[in-house]
Amino acid sequence: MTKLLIVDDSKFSQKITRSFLDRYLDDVTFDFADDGQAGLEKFDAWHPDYIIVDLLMPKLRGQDMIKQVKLSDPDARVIVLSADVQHHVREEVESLGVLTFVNKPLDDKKARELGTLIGKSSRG
Amino acid sequence: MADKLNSSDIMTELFNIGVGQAANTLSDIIGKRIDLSIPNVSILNPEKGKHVLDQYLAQVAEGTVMVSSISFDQQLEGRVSLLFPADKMHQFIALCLHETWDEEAVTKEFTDIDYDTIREIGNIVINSMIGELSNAVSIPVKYTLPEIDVLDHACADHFVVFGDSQLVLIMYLDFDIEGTEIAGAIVINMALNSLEEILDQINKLYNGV
Amino acid sequence: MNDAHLPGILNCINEGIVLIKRDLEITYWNPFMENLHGEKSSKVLGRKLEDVLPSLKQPFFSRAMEQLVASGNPVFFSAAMHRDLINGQHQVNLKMNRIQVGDELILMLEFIDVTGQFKRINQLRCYVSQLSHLNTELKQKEKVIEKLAYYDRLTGVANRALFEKFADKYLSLAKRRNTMLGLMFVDVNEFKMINDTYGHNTGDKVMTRVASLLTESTRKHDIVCRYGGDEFLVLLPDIRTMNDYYQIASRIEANKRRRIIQDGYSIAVSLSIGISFYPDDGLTISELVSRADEYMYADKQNSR
Repeated sequence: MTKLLIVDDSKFSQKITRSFLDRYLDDVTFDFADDGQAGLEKFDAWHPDYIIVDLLMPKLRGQDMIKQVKLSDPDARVIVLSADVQHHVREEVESLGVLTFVNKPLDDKKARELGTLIGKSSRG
Repeated sequence: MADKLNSSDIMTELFNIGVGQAANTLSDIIGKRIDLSIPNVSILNPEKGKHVLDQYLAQVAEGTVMVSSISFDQQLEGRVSLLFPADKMHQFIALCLHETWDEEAVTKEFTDIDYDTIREIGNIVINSMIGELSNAVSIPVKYTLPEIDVLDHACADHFVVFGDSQLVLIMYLDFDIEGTEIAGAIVINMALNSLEEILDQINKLYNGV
Repeated sequence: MNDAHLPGILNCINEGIVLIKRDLEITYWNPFMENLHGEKSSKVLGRKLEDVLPSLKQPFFSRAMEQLVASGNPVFFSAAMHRDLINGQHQVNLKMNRIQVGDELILMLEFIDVTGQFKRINQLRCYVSQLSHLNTELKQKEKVIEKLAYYDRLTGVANRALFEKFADKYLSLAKRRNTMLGLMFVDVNEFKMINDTYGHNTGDKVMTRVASLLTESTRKHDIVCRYGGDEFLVLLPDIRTMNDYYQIASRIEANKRRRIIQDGYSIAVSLSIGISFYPDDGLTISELVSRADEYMYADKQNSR
């Protein structure tokens, strides 16, 4: 069973991400958080295998949440899913050691790639 | 159709993506980092929309705004206006053009070059937002280049058509370019049935969402 | 009208018009564009857009063209944000539109020359900066003129004109607030002899030293004024008790007789001082001045 935590301040976006990923992943369970702070708490309590995190969020920005997550677990597997695709933002986030950076909106093609990525690394 | 809270969440997310893309394009063009705040879309009836908009105009823009606007009128009907407080625009334009901005120098007037700069920025923002919306719901939207205007003593009536079948979507848009904050707003005046069509389409496309 | 006229019409338009296919191959390049760019139509037809206009290689242009192909909504690029789009001689706005011709999509690029606007605005900026430069100069001159009009050229303290301005102001203030206004008359004893003995040049410097001495002995709002050749007036506003006055007087008293070293000479300088007060000694400035003058004269007699 793969545990996936989706951190996004939009419930709509949470649902879209879930339904897209559901198509390409078996045996996976989801949990959700509405902001960076809540995401951090869920991460500590639930120990998900993957975190999919938005950047622009209230309370704690995605960037800052990832920093904290990486402090407590340097091997944490983080996927960024964001509409802020400025290249310096991307560079900043990639320097934090994330698996990949996906531009919103999520579509079928991107979801399939994510499914492959998660499927592979969870088997490996 | 989704309930009110949901529809505002959906529109927020859709426009969020558009604004992110607009910031990306603008940042590429001017070669500067742009920090965004979290935009939030309110969907209001015209009366409430007018009230909220008048408040913004009085407080943030102190009456004078620079407006880029476009109309669209096929399957979806409406008008999008991108508002920026005029007093900040000289500074904003200078940042975009890599010029030093001198508060004392030059007039408060906008030159044709300033207008063209704002036309491009308006084009970028509106293209990204409406483009994203149009992609997400697979409804083509047709429009022209934005018209640019500077309005003294602007009030909500400039941007909002009143009528029972009308809705007003207001989204505050805060850019921060190298420490200069620009508090803009996007006002979308839309036919009620256009919003319904968008939400219906989303329900269809993301069935079970 | 028949479509055959269209190329002829585009040839007359005073904008650079370029038509390209979806794969960005150039299919039309009007005469105005030849002027803007410098390359003849025959040299560019069939070539790729970004080979002819390399600045359009930047990713946001290609993204915009992809979007334009997909959506058909026009795109605009301003000359100000995209300098030297064609070359350094012309600044142009660029408008892109999608046109459907039968089954084929073509893109129309309009290059609108705004070099003239840039020139005019630069001129305007130049004028504005010249104006602001002139303005600064004028302000500096104004200060100099004010200084000339209100301050004594030799000693730098107030002249009679400034004294009169402040005297009236302080007098009415004293009336309103029910306070005393002190007016001190100071004369440098034997100044003529100093001039005769050490020369006018040294005499002038002595006068300047006396002026500084008075300024240093008085309060911030007191006005020291050179009234005539060897005479000074000092306005002492806002005196509430005689104690306020004694404090100033004692500081001046300490300097009343002293030797100063000037130009290598040790010169004895002594002052005669008379002081009158509003309201006890008079109700107008001229009454106060003549009363202080009398007291000063008495002081001079005593010190002899």
